[in-house]
Amino acid sequence: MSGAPFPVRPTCLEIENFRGFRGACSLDFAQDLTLLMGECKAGKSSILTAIEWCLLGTKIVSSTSTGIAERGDWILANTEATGETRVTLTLVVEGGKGKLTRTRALDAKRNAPDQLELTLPGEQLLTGNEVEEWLEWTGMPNWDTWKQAFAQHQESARERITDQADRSYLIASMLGLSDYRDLSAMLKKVKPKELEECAQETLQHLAEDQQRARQTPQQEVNGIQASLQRLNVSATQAGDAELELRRKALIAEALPVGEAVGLSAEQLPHQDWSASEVHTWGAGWRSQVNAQMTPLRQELGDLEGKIRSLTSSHEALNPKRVALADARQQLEGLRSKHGSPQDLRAQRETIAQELSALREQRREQGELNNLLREALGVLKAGGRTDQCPVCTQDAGGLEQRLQEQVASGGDDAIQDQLDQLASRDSALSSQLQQLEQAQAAFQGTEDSLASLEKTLRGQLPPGTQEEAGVTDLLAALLAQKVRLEKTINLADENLAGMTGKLEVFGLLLNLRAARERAEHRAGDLSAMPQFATLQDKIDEAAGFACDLIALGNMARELEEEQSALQIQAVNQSINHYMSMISPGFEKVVSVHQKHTATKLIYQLVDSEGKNLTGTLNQGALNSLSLATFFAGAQFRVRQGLPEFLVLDDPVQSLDQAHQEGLARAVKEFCKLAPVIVACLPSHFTRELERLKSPDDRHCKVHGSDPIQIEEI
Amino acid sequence: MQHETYQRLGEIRASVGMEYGKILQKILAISLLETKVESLVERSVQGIDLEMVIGGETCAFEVKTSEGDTIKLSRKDIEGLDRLVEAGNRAYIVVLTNGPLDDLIFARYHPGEVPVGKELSSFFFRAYQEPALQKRIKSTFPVVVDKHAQTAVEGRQGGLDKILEQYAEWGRA
Repeated sequence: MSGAPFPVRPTCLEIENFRGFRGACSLDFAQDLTLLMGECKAGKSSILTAIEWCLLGTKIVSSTSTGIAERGDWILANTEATGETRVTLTLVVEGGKGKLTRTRALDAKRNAPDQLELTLPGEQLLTGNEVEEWLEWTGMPNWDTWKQAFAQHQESARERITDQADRSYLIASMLGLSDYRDLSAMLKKVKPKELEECAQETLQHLAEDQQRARQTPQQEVNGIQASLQRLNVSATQAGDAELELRRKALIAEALPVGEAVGLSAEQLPHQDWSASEVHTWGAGWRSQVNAQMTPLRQELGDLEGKIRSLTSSHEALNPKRVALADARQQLEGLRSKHGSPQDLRAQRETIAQELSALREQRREQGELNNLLREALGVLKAGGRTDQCPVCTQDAGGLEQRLQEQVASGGDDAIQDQLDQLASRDSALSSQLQQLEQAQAAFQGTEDSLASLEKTLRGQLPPGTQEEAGVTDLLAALLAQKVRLEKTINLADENLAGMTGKLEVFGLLLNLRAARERAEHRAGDLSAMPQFATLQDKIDEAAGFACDLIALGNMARELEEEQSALQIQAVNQSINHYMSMISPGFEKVVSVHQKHTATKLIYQLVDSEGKNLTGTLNQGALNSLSLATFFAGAQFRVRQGLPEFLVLDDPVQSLDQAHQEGLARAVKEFCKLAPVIVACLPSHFTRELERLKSPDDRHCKVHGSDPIQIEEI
Repeated sequence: MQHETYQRLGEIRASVGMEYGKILQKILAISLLETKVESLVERSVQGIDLEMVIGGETCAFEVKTSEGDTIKLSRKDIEGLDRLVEAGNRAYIVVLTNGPLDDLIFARYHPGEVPVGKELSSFFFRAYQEPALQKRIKSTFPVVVDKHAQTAVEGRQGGLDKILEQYAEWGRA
């Protein structure tokens, strides 16, 4: 850190449009002591803040960066300014003077970056980060150093000794342990723990990814195993051996079926087919077999038809012959009984003629009877029944004879004859009908038999005898039927079983694939070269983290050892300034080193080892803060580091005696490095007036607008 | 670690409960014996579980397992390991945490560098791991776990002892 060849120090300040300063003004503080006196709101603190801003930038108005709450509300630019804000520090540097200028645009937002320039002897110009690096290289203060060893801020006058971190930092600086502290701080920033957390987090995410990647195929495996379980294949059974057994069985069962139904060699499975090939083949097996089965079933149907036809023809032949014989016998019996139909028809013809004659006779008789009745009527109408009404000839007894003639008529006899003839005709008709029916029955049976015999002959091979031919043909047909049925049953059985077998086979095949996927994915991470590389990187990170921890431990151990050597000198220095500032202070201040789990902290204790900061009053605390402040600055000077003190209203809570002591301390220190003090007119300023030497410069700051600096 | 090995170890842990540390120690012993060591002795002293002679050198192992991702070494463990190192031995802490991707770590013990009583993740021990030793059992450990998982679950320590007794290089002190 302290590689600078020359202790840089500021000698002049130029301010333009900064806080209370509108327009431009400058302050030369090349002297040992520069005292800025002024009433409240005169602008004294603004001058000191301008130095801070020039050196440290906008972080001075951040409550977080500075640790001073009220700084968060500060506005850097003069609110009524019409130009940019600029502060320039003239620095004494090796080989001459340099100018450090920080500029802020008029309308810049609060967190907007400033422009930073540094002009060095030889017209060398640095800007931005180059300037920051140069300031760091020369040992100019960062905020922590500034707060601890350069500036006594009135806003946080006592924090230097009451805040553990600030106190430890300052004392460690006084003990010459800045490098160790910086190393510890750097190691703290690197945070080995974060490396570990990052590595663990990465591995955790990978493990979760692996778990997720495994779950899907594993769930698939579980699902397939459950399906197989339902098909009575246990999870332990469901392996490659089972798959192979079933592969062979499927082929062995399919081959005879395929051959039986007449599939071609290309359509049949091969013994050396893989399980996947068998599975693919199995998907088309049913349709292939069914395609062959359709003509086979048709053939069987035809065959069964033939057998049925032959059997029924053969079986119907004899009854038909018997029936024909019966019909013949019946016909002949009727013929012998009634004669031939021709005879019967001739008889009926005769009867018909007789009937016709009788009916004529009956008609003529009827007409005669009508005339007789008419004659009787005439007789009765003439009133004389014994005389002919026409010729008036006597006709005694005529009426009576007429009546007797009408009564006897002859109708009944004719009717009787008619009835007899009709009855005989009816009988003949019935006999004729019987004969015709018997004749028809005989003829029908005869035709049927002839047809049957013709059919049967058609089924038999030419030249074969009927009975033997039928028997042989039936036997041949039945044998063929049995063969066909056997083939069809074999195929049906195979197809019926094949569905379930192929399902199990497919599941086994899928299970194997799913297990392979699960296995493959499971092995992914541990086998992946990228994972091995990641592990190597994590190993490196672990090594690095351990090295950092070891370095931190070493730094702490070294700090501990070094502090033991320097602690007496620091105690002396603090007590020296404390005795000047607070002459009545009776306690002896000692720096006490305390270990925590990860660092060393420093306390200020009395001779009995009791913590001082917890028991001192405000005046004593302020005095001790100033004493450690001077002591710390003194050590920086002795180390050849840039140093100048800025004291902003340092007399808080100090009575006249303490203010006199502080004036003496300031006068003593300013021989080592420049001191700039801003303060209200007080006993302290009067004491500095009294002690003023030619190298001191005393100025009065006027708060009128704009702020003016008047040398006294 | 292969996931199958991790699962097997998980099954063993779930079955044997508190005995898991000892069971793993014996599985580790079998794994080391499978790599042809000159001798391997199980010891029942603080800070040393196994003592192996290989290439004429003695290596002592303190086996630490964890259900989580950290392990803790007691003062007695550390003192035991310190004594071993003082006696000129190479001492190792064998760490197996319970992450799916965690591997066995053979961490060389250096006195003063392992905090006492503090939960330490496997990350800490990775800085001290000895790749040669880990490589030695990388392939045998999963095989031994797979082969003897059933014995570990059913026969516990006694079952594994019977297997260990079959090795001429095995001993107990």
